[in-house]
Amino acid sequence: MKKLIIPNSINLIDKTLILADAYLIGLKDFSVNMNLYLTFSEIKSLVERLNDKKIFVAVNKNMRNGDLEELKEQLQNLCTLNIAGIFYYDIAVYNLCSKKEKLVWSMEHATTNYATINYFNNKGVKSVYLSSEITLNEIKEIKENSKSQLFVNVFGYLPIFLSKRYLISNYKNYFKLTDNDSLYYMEKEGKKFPVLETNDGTIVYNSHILNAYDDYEYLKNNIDYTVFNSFLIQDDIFISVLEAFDKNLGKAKIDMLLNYNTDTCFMHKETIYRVVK
Amino acid sequence: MKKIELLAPAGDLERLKIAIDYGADAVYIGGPLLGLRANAKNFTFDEIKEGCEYAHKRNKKVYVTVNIVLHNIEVKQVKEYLCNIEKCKADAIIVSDPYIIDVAKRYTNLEIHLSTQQSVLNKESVKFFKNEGVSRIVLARETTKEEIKEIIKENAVEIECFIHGAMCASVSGRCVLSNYLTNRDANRGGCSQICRWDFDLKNSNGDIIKGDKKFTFCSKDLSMLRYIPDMIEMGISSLKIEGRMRSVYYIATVVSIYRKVIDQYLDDPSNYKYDEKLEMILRNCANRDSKTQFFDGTNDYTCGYYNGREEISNQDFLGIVLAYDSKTNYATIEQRNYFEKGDLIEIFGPNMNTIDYTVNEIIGEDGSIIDVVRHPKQIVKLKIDIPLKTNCMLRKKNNSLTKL
Repeated sequence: MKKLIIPNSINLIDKTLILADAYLIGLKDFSVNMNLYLTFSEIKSLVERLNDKKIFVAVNKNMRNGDLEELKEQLQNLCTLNIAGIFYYDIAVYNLCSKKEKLVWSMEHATTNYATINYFNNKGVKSVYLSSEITLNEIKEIKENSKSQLFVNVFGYLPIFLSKRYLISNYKNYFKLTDNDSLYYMEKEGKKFPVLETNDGTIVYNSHILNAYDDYEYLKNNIDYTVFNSFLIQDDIFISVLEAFDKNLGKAKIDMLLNYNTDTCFMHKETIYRVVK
Repeated sequence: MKKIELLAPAGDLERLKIAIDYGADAVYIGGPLLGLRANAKNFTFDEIKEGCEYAHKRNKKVYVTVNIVLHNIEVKQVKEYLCNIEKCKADAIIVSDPYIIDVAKRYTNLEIHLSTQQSVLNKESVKFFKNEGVSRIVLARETTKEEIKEIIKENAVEIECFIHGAMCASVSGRCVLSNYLTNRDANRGGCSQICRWDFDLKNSNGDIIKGDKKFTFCSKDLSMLRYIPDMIEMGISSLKIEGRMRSVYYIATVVSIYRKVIDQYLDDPSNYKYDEKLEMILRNCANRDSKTQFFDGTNDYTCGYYNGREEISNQDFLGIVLAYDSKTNYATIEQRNYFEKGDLIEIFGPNMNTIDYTVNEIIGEDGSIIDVVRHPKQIVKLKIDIPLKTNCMLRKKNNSLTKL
């Protein structure tokens, strides 16, 4: 098992070098739901500097026709680097990328079963970033029935909504509100959901921080990459969390670090498929 | 000019027949499994078969949605399920998960349409799915007019676009709010429409940011009535109406209006004129404001729905014709909303001009003369001199509206 971090800054990368094996970085203008977006030349420098770490790049936004030409060029350039892989959502990335073996199928909420993972494996995509809306048992079943390299979220705020609309700006414009912050929260029944507006639309994160510590033993022994997302977590706390996972300090310790705003999400809870009336 | 398909939703057999009778060229329905409306009534295999027979006799088509995001537990159901759909003589399946495409190709001869759940926005993605054997692609609702044109120009595959109905606030497939807030799985048919809820909005200091109403994602509906001629000229193959859980009245009204506009334009494109009054009937029917949304590049506050849930129960729909006796000229009506003697109403139906009618004599089920029809689904008889077909509908007459 390798530990992959979605960092929020270069600084955090430098501070976690002894704790992490891999990093997932956004490619500026072609990524969503990341915390750090770099240009190709910045990624190149990072890859060259961190030559003992695996650097993955997310190219995971929904592409428009107007993106395709530059996307093709960016993918060609990325494939010249010693990167570990490219996370993609839009199938256009698959079509335009010449090195299929570099690709990580990362369709967020749709990477939920072994058959579709095997379908992409047969097409040369040997890695998949699993959905956070499946249970640990489903993850185990996927592990048993697929040959693909698996990435599983174990810690952090999870992105749970993405829109091409500028939902905060639209609301403020409609009611002529002047507040100008970079981060908002939408609240309901005591739960606070972080909302972020970007050039590409609006992202909402879960109100609670995923803490899959109790399942870490299985995950670290069976899953290729466990993923730690640093979004909205202070660097020192994030580092303490990584250490707690490393040193088996227990779930309670991590929960305490995060003011108990944690949840195991769907690791042991199935979603309702059909409402019983 | 290329024939364009009008594609309507149908939540059950009754609505399938209504949609076809009122002018849809094809309908899409959910089967017993693997669709995205798990809580709708949906069709049994026998009903799919019956629906297909009804449609095919009238030279129309039926597509079955199989657009769930698969979990492990469903993987082994796919092959048998698709084979059963094929036995029902469905014309196509609408799928999202690529594995289902693969199974459909290996074990059936079903035509495959790609669901909007894949959020295809660009010509390269279209190329991929075309090469996978998909014959039609339902584009993402975020696609603009220019993007659609470019996609059609560069790919010989059928393109289907939404023209009317509710909009997701999110990119389709990239929202699991329902999972996290209500434990209902958005991508497996359980969406609880969190985008229509309201929330307190706070900035990072904890200050409430509040207009006259609370923060919501709620989007206005989509309505492309004004752009139908453009969409025909662009070479789009199919125009899709959203709403498998909508009422018979909604289906009949929306389908008949789009049918009329398509036919009017195709009959005489150079003399076609947009009729604002048809748009008013549509607005009245849905009780929700609508916009063209992303098609013309609009993506601002005018697309949002900020004034709370304004939908009210639609009371325009007064009743549906169950039968007509041409010897006595009595129509048997099933009531849907209150009406009474003296009301001026309109009667509309498949392949007929809308007629005005003033309610005069009302005969109750026991044969007695009554003045008001107040009970839901009450059966009454009205004397109407013009012969009516089954499933014609009665609605309130609004003098500002035109006749269909």
